[in-house]
Amino acid sequence: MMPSLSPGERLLIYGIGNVGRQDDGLGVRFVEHLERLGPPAHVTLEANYQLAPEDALQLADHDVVLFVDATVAPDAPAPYVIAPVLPASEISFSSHALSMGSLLALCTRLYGRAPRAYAMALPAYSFEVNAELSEGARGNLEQAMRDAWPACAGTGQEDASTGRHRIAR
Amino acid sequence: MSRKIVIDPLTRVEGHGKVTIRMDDDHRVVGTRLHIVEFRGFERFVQGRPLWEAIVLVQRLCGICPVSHHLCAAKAMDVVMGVPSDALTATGDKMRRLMHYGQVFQSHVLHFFHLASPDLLFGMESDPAHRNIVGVIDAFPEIGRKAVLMRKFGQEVIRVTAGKKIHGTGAIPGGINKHLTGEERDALLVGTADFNADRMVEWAQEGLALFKDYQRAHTALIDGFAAFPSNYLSLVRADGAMDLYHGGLRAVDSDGATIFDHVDYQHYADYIAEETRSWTYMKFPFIRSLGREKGWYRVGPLARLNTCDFIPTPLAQAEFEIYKAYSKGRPDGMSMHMHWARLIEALHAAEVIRDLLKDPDLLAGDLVKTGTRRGEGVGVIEAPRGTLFHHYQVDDNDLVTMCNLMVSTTSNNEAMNRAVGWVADHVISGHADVTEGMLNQVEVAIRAYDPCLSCATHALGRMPLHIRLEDTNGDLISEIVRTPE
Repeated sequence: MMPSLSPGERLLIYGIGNVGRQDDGLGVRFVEHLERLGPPAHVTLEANYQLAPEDALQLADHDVVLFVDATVAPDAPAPYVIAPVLPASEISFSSHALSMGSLLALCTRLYGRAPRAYAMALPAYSFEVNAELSEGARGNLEQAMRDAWPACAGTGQEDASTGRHRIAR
Repeated sequence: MSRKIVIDPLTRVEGHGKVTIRMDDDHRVVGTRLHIVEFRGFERFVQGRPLWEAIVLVQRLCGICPVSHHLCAAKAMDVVMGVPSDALTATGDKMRRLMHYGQVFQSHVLHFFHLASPDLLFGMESDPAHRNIVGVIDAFPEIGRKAVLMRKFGQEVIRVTAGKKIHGTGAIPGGINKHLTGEERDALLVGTADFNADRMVEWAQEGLALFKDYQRAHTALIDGFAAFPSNYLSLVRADGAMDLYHGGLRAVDSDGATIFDHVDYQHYADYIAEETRSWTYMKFPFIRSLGREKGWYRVGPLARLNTCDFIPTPLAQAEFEIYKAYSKGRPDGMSMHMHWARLIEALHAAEVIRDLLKDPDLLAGDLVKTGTRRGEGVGVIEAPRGTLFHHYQVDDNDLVTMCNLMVSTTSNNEAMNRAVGWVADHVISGHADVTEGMLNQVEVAIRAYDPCLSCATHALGRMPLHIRLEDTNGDLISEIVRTPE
């Protein structure tokens, strides 16, 4: 399912990860790249090691959120895949991090609304203590950045049937 | 055939945690181990880096308390630059303190709201479908609303002092690189009706009252759960007050007798040693004078309330007196009282933040001090989870040649192992069917110490909980996997 924006909608792009652990930082690298290009007014960029409860405040102010994170799922296709995220209530093993689904559920419960949410998952291969991406991850990131920027800048492909701009490939 | 229960969250960085419980044919627990694969590679990563860069890089160690590493490294590099951390300019000292207490406040709030409150509000063996943060919001929406704003407040304190929410650059060797602006101060001090320093103090009191009510209603459970004596370690101020930013090292035993006091932490290695064991990469620190068997100790909120003489803010001090009266002035060894202590500290942090925000030194004054450079420095800080040590050696080109980090989760390693052992012996042993509620109690014991199990890497597709039942040969008997979504 492809995420799309209607005119006037606000988009939050949230990169997750640690750039000090190689490919784990893919999501943050993605956001850093968009920051350098200068996003349009309707796009908010955010990045952090992981999601936390207070992120619900920012989510509630947006119509669409695109989480960007590395993935180690063995069946995740390169260079990336985008999938919708639904609110979910979960158990965690003593983890400080919130899942995307839990954060959306939190947002809905607290503020009575949550943005349409999607996760861009970029396959990741190496997690050593190193700021350099692996070659495969770098290729995935470059393709994702090429595809995402036109939509962020408001020049993305337009879906003929809806008039909406497509965010992703 | 004996069997082994393994709780294995496949996680990240310093944070790969796994619990192994071995049971014999009669379902009696015959051994337990908590494995936390502490992340050591970072120390090598920092070697060869300029000292100023190390202060920023170390924040990548932990996604939960990056500010603690940032400030601890800065304190070590203060020493390298010839400026003891208690001799910074007034502005440098107070800006760093504000940053640190902001970190402690938001960290303690996260722990209580996200990790502890589901167990306390619903019960340890309640339905896991609602024993989580979303369940808390459903049942207690006002608590959730306030907790989110408290977290946000702490994050804003960090942002305006460190320069950024993550990867801050505020602390530099010998001081700080910015003042607070009047606008930044007012946004926190006055803010809005639901977002200001006074409101944070008020809500911190409410959180503490919530725990105390629960403790009164469930005294046997809270007081008896994973309770055991130990030694305790923390920094204390020269007058014995709690000081989370700076002080000398104090250790007391289970009776409250002083083991050492006001030790200059530049000499920490003379007092604390680290033992390795074959089954884990994580070290087991101990107090040298007591030896390996008797020298293990606890750090963190419980330890800090056991070592300090008083808390230097009035509301937290009043709560400290209630707390100490409950334990009859003796060191408190009850693991679940870690929550009580943590919430008293959250109140203290809120008071400190409120008071600091009124201090004009934040807005003007010299930022940095210089001194006679040396080649080595140790920084110690009371991070939210406990005493954190950073030790560096630096060459003539300002490049780091040696780095040794001792994080609070390491210091609590033995205590967490004992807490897991307590649950295994008292809750699980003798039962053929090990329920989710029983296993959750293992987690409750670990959670009390708030270890960093999932901090700094965060790839999708990693499973948060993996339980394996194995026989003595390691062959799989059964397996339970909780998937994230």
